Amino acid sequence: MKNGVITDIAIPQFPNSDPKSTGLSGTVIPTLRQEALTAQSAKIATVSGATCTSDAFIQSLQSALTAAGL
Amino acid sequence: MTMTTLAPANLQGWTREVHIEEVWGTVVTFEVRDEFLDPSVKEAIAEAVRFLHQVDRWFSTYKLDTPISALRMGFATIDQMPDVVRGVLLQCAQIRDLTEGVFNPWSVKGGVDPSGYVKGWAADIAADMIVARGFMNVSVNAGGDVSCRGYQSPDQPWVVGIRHPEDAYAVVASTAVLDGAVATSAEYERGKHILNPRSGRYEVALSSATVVGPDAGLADALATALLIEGPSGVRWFAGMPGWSGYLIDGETAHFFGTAFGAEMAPTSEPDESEREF
Repeated sequence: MKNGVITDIAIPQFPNSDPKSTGLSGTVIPTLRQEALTAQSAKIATVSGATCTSDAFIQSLQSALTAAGL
Repeated sequence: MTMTTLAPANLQGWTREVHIEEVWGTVVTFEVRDEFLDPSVKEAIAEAVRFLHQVDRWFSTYKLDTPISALRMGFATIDQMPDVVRGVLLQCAQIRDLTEGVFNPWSVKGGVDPSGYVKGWAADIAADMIVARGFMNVSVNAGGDVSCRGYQSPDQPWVVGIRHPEDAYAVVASTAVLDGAVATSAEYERGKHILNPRSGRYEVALSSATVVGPDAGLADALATALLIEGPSGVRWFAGMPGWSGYLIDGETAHFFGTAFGAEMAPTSEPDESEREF
C-alpha cells in the first residue's frame, strides 16, 4: 500500500494451455508478480486464503478491503 | 491504522455494513450490501456473531470445557455429544470416505479434530442467518474461507480473489460466486500443521488449494484434502458438477471446473474434460 491506497493487487491474465489427462481443465503458469492493477478494476470484494492469525490479518488485502472507505 | 481508500467501483452506488470479529484464533469478516440497508442490519450481524462464539463453545479444541474436548480426552462418548457435534462429525466421516481417507479428522494427534470442516460450515450458517433477517447480499469471510449470498453490487455476484501464496496483498485469480463458497487451504500462514494421514508426516503436495462450490464446509475440507493429495485429487470431484478448484504448485497453477475455466480459457472451445466435473 502507498499513502493508504492499494496499488498492488496483481491479477495476471492467464494464457490457456493444454488440458492435462488427469481431468484438469487446464494448467496455467501464473506470472505471480505481474504488473500491478488497482482494486478499482479488480472488482474483488473479499479474499480467500489460508486461515490467518489475528496479527496476520492486519497485514492482508482482506483487511484493507474491509477498512477501505468505499 | 492507515485508512485505505478504494474507488467506489466495487460498490456501484450501493452501501455496505462491515463487521470484523476475532474468534476461533482468527478473524471473521462480515459484509452486507444493498442499495439501502435498514439499521437492523447491525442486529442481524450481531446474531450471526453470537453463533460463531457458540460454535467456539462447541468445537474449540483449545478450550478444555467444550464437548469436542471432552470427546477427545475420553471424558465423553459420541452418544453424549450435542446433536450439532454429532451432525458435524457425521459430515466429516462422509468427506473422509469421499476423499479416500485424505481428509481425516480422526488421524490427528490428540483425538478427533473437525476444525477443517467447522469453519466453512459455520460461515454458511452465519451467512444464512443474515439472509433470514431480510438482507440478501452477504459475504462471510471466516479467516479466508468465504461464504457468499447474492450480489456485491447491482448485477455483480460477489467476486472472491485467491491470495498469492507469498504475498498477502496480491491475488493470483478471482471468481464470481452467486450463493456459494470459496475455501483455501495452505501452510503459508501457520507453517507445517497439516498431517498427511497416509504418510503420517506433516507434508502437503501444493503451495495452495482453493475449492469453489455450493457448501463452504465441504469446500473447506476438500481444499485441505487437495492440498495434501495434489492435482490427482480432482478424481473426487467426478459427479460434482457445481464444483471447481484452483491449485497452486510453486509457479504453476492447475484448475478445473467452470468457476475458473470460463474465466481463464476465453478463447478455447468448451472442453470435454471440464464437463466431467
